[in-house]
Amino acid sequence: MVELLTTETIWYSLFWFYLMAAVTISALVFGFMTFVVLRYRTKSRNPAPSDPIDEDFRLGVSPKRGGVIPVLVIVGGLAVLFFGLTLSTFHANEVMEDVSHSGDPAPLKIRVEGYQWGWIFVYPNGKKLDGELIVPVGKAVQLEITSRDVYHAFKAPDFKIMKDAIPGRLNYAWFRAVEEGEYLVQCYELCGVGHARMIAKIKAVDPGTFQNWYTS
Amino acid sequence: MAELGPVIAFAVVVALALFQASAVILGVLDPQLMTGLVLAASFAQASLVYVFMMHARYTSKGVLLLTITALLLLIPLFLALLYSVELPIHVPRSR
Amino acid sequence: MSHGGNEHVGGPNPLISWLFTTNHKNVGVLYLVTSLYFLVVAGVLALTFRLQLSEPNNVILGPDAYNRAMTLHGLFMLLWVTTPLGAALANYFVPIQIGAKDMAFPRLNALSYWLYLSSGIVALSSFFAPGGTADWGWYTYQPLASLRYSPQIGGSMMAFALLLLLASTTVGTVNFIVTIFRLRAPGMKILNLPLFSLGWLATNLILLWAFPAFMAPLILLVTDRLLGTVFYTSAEGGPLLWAHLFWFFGHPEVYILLIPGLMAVGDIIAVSGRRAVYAKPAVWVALLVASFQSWVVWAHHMFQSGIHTGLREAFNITTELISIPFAVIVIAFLLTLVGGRIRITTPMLFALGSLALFIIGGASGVFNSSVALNIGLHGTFWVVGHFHYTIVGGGITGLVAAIYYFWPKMTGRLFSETLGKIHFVVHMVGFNLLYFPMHMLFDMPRRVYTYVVEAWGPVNMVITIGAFTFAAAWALFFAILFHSLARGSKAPDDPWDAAPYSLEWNIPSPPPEFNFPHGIPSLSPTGKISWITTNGASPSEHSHPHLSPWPFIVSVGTSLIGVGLFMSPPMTVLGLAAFVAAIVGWAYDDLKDRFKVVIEAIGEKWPFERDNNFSLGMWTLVIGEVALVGPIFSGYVFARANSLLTGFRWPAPGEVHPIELGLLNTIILTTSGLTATLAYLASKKGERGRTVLSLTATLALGLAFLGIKAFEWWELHAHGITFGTDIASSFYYVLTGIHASHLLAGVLVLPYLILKAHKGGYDGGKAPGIEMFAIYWGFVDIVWLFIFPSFYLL
Repeated sequence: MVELLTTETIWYSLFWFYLMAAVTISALVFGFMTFVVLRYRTKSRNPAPSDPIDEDFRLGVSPKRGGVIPVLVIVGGLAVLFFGLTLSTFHANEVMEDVSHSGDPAPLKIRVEGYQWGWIFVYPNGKKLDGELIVPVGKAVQLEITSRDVYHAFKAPDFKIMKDAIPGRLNYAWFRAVEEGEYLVQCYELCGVGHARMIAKIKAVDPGTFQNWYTS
Repeated sequence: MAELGPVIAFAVVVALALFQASAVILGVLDPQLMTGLVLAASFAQASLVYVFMMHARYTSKGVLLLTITALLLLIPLFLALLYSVELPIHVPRSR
Repeated sequence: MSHGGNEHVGGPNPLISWLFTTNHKNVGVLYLVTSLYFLVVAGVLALTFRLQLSEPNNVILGPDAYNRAMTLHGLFMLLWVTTPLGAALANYFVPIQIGAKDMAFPRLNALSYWLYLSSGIVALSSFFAPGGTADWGWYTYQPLASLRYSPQIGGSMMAFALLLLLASTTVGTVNFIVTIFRLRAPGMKILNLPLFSLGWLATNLILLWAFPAFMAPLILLVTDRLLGTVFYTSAEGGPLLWAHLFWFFGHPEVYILLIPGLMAVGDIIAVSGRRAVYAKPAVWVALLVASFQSWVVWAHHMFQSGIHTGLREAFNITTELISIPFAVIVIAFLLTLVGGRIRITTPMLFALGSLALFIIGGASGVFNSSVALNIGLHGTFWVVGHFHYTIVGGGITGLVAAIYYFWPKMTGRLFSETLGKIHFVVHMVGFNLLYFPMHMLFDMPRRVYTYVVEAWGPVNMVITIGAFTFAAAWALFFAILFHSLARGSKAPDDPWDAAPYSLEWNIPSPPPEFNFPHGIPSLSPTGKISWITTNGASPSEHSHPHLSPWPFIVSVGTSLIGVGLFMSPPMTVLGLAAFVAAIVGWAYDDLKDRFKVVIEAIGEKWPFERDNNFSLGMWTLVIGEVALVGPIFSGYVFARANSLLTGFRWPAPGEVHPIELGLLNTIILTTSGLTATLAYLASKKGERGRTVLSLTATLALGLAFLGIKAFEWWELHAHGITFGTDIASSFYYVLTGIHASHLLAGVLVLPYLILKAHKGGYDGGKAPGIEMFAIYWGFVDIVWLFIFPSFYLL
């Protein structure tokens, strides 16, 4: 069986790539920092005046301190690293943004309306649900997100999809549930006293059950 | 004659203002061309005031540097705002 | 706090000398105490909501109280704590490090502080206003912060307080830029400055545009809330207009918070390792590059708002790139230590700790910069963790290191090293316990007063325990400082053996009123400090008390206006009276030449050799104001472009605003620009009569312009076109209103200039007042030259 493309797998593989790079680089810097401090530490608690001072230790710029090569190494190294990160980011972003990459020729199109404080989901046939989105497993779902009042943000953390719900504007996202179950939807932009309770759920059901419910 | 520069600049600024206003009132020019001309005239006026009335020409290069920086900083903001005009519907772009 | 600066004051009692002081060191101490007080307030607020969040479905704090506490915590920590904490140390040490006796404008320096305090008072009072204070989060997203969704009066008060704070900071920025550029001692080239001063210069170059840029959207918000304009509630302006304008300021602000601490860390590292800073020119270039890059990264805060993909990709790249100059700085600091003899003191521990925390914060920032990863991280506790690592870790922890480092110089007292090291351990444990686990909550939304997902509970409990540990570290910090004041042994002049590295360690602890008892410092090209002795210290320095009551009274006035405007009208009248009295008193002092500024004429002035302090101050101010006017004009273009899509018909030329009147006003204003210039030229030649005549003509023309403007406003109102009629009228009223109020300010200054010129105050051929006025007036002309086509012609 071919594994279906999901937004969360794309996101997590990118995340691990970044994490690997970040941990490696931070480890190198921390290692160097620790080495330098331990290697060049003086033990004396109260330094005597005889403790020699570097002759270059002075106000202004010391001509003997620092060449351009380390700077170029840092700039060049990071530029190469960022080039790699950016390429993979742009690729992932394109897939996560555009439902045509889902491989589903006829995605289910849902309109999402945020309001103070809840979510309304409107199906193509006019069916409307408040606080719950029922979707068939395996099908790509495209969301058209907007708001009826203030600035909200739609997010389903399990699918790693998010778009702001802004009055007067439409934003798009897509996802695909591969397993039956209930998934959290929440508002991620402060929208007033009800913000924390602006929660809905995505209910993924098998396609047959969905079809029965949808056509009923 | 230190006064000569400001006086000439003043005359040019007023002439440009008269030109702007008459171009719009007469309305004989193509609208896009007219908009361009009006804005170009404003920038010319502003430069004249900057150089002659604020006597920027007597200041050090640091002042010019700061002025240019200030104007440069605004360009990205201007572009970003223009690129955000996508009302009412933003359709995801496929490449 | 015993203070050397007061020794010469003698006469007035200590309270008066603190209230009326203009000495940069006293102002620095005032800043320090005030910002630390606000830190405690905002910190306690954080503890209350950490308690609330420690378990799912907790009921200690309701959503109302939570939102207010969280908003105030954010606003205060960013704007009333971290920025002024840097300013506190900079006020005290930047003039000393550059070799100056005081700031370029000591009274304006005092004014900055007093406006800062009064803005803080107004902001805190808003907490007690009916309906509570702002509860929309520090970035004030629209339209939640509009009158319709947040009608509480405390919200408007907070906006007013922010305007006051911005005024305070702008005055301070102008002062610092003039001071650092023009008051340096001989040989003290820009690159020779210690890193802290260098960093403060970079910070001020950001501040110069960032805070006026914040003023732009804020003014639009205040008019939306108070006058009913429709910038953020109409389809043509709307939430994205605010978001862009706000973050355009908001991201540079982050570097304002970071750089002072980070650069102080660099100095401490150099001093503790007893090595010159590695590749200092590269550090300075990196700092400048980062300062200007900070202006092109803001839209990463808006990656989920559905803005153009290409725009997002561009901001993804710029955001990644800004980590490169900071990597250069961090590595240069570490390379500084190679081959050194490192002494591990309390400031050094905090410096290294700050660097480590900043590295973690920088690394997590790269994740956020990715347009794709941002989808999963935006609006979650991951982001909260990230920015606390950079701002509290890189910025504030660095400033704690700096406070320890500078403390013996400021107070003349040593602190306990043992306690300091214990403090370091508690600080680091608390910090990491508090902020590191936040990265694990990358699914949990930020700014929720509670949550239902049980799995988030244990991590939140750890975070809360960390928060209280971190709070204990701060309590310990204050205890150490008080202990040092009360019991600390006397500090030598140079407790860190840093005399060859920076001027402040060559003078007594605490420093005398005018800093340098041995003469004027000067620096040889090989970095040797010597002292130029003048023929005995000029006695005039000590015969003038250098006290001025007016900055303090201005502040009292503005506080009363601010609180009164929203709570009790009579208070406003009283405040207004105090304000006017202070301005008049200030002007009268000037007219009588009562307040003397102690400035040395010799020294480094690059790249402003041809200006004077006054003209440079005015130039800096008007160039800063470009960032106030520019964003509003950009917003105007944005709204007009939007109107093509929303179907709103923008009025045709001449339809609402008569072209002839606009043209007339253009000619009047340009003529007044000419007369102002002529006044300046006449004053330079010492021609009293022509100066007075030209100034009077300028006044008459300015009044004529304002009269015509008032007539136009009157006519518009009579035809039912008001602030809130549509987006076009909103922009017209606010832009012409801002312009007219600038003009009005100039018109109010003119009688003073005329009087002074008439009395012969400018006869010597030196007329800084008139020169400043001419620069200002030219700027006001230029703004009008863009308003005219925008509303009358196009």
